[in-house]
Amino acid sequence: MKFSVYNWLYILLLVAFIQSGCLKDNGNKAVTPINVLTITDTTAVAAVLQFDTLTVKPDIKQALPVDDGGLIFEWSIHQNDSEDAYPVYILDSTRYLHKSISVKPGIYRLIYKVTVKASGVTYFKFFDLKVINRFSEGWLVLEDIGGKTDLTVILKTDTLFHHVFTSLNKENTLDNPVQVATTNTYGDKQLFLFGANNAIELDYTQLTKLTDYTRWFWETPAVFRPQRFRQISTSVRFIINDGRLTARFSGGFPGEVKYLNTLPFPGGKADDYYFSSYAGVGPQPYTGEKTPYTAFFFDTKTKGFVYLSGASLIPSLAAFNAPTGSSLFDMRNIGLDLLAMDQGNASYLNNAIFKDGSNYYLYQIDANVSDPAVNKKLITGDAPQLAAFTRMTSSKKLQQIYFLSNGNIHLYDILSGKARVIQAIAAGEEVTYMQCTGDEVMVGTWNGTEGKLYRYTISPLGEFGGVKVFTGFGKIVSMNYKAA
Amino acid sequence: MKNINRLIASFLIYLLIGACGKEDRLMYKEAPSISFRRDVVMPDSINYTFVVKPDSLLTDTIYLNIRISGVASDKDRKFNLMTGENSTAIKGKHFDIGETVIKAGVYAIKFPVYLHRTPDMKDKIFSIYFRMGSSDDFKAGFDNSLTYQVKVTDKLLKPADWSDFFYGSYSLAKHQFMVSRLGTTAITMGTGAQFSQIMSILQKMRVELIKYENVNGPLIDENGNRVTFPTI
Repeated sequence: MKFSVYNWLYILLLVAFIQSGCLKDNGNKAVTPINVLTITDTTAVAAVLQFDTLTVKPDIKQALPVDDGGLIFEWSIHQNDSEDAYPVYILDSTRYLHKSISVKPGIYRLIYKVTVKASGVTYFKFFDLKVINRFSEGWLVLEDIGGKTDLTVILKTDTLFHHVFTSLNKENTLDNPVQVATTNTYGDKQLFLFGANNAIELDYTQLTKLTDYTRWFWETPAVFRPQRFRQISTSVRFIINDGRLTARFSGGFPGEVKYLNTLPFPGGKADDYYFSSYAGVGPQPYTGEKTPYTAFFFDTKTKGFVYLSGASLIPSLAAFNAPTGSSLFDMRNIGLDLLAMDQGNASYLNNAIFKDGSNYYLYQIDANVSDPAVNKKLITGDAPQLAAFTRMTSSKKLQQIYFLSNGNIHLYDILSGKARVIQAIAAGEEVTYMQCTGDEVMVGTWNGTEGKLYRYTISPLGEFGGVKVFTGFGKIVSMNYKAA
Repeated sequence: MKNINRLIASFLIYLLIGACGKEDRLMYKEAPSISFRRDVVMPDSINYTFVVKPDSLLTDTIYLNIRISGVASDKDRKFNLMTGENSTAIKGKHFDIGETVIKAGVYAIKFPVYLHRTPDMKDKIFSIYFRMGSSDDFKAGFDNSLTYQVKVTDKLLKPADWSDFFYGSYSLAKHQFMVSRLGTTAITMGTGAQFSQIMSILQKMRVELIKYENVNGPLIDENGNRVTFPTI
């Protein structure tokens, strides 16, 4: 057989291919033993209350044991109840976890990450964790800390959680706090914080910011200086803003609901009025009550009251009727300066304190009767010490008023006209908040560096009984009970 | 015979290798065209009223969204924007338009239409029917995107769903007063206001009317009646 040049070339090519398979194997198949970790745990819990300390002590079995210095630990957590990418929060870098869980309520994955320094190999252990809202119910205490807002929550167990607002709202602040308030509109619960020139809504469950006041109005007020917010029925709430009333009516009609423009003052005065921050509440319409006085306000310009009439599709401000011969005073023209007003010992009875020169008067206004001027009494006749009062709050059960005067809390008996000291304020403490809630009188004080809250229980005769003292506050300015 | 096979094999390999050549880019080769740009937020018409504008505003500008098909050019190109025979607005009196040019390197423009406030707009609505035609540089584009209507007026029309219950009886003077104070013609649900907003508008009107009357006296409408707003 004769081989041509082509045959030789093909053979040469074939040999080249075969030889290329004989290259030295540079692969490294030698097995170097590494420290394999096996992480197990029996200490983790499935759920934890928000702000509770979570302790987890996993067991680590090492194939080539080294001490903790040879390992790098990391605890992290991320929300795990949505397909969205949630941020991962690093909790700690310790072998065992012992840390307060301050993330918002939700379903989370807790991640334990251990890296062997020598090999760089990382091992993971995952835990499912539910963080439960612990602030579903309790007292909200609004505090002023150096001009900034913070919030303390007092649970029903009397457990305190300070700095809740600033912990949960690191990106948001509210200057010069004024009021904390909650609302319930047909089961839709909301939580609001008002500052001197701002206001925000917090998520009712998570206590994180949702909106600010610029979203609440059809036409945002040019000046926003909220003095008082109040919900007077499921469908009606109002803000006294810079002396003028703006209200929000909801229910039974379509579309978005917002605060209306300023309600005009009756008698053709347009917006030429300036309400004090006190508001009395009367019966709501359509409940079979007797009057249209759903709420009433004191105008500091005319020194008289007007009321919010609910007997119409759109409530409006209206003038009280002229006094009759039996009227004790003219609601339209009190003619004095209103110093304070608070709900008395009946739902629609309000105790208002007026000053006339050196005399101080109690005007009792019952919004549930057509002539609401039900009582007028000179306070300082038999109780001259009350002339120096700086705060007052009415008993919700008796015809009594608690006055703060000259560093003492006085109990004023309306029927007898007598007053007596029932509690001295601790030396060096200034009262920043005082409110009777029914069974208790809440007294917030400030000593220049720390706020305290005294919760006095009330005896059947109106005296103070026991007291619980809570410490560690800023300057307490407002309180509100948050229902579950 | 073997050499023939080898030649055939070599030819096949050559063909296979030839298949790996670079493919030319698929480019738009049609003649450039032009049309109005349409989508959900860019409708085919606009209604403009001077009523909500300050009295001092005599000319305002609206913009038509226009875009081309094809590649951008390295030179300016003219397009042909015509006004339809049905137009009631007069060019030079009621409106003017900008330069009908697509600048070099540009695919889309906002084309200015200058609307002039004229006395006859107080009681009339003027229409401009724009139509995109072909030019030396562009042919007319998509058939359904070649027209655009502009309505311009300085007059208010009574909203079809005006309710005497909320605002009292209708008059043009009341309507103008409301719009001038609100800065919008959305005062009923049919014109874009929500129910709660109507409540708010009523409060504002009651306040604003008192303020007006305190300075000017009662506001009398075209029927000789005093303008009022109800308390409901």
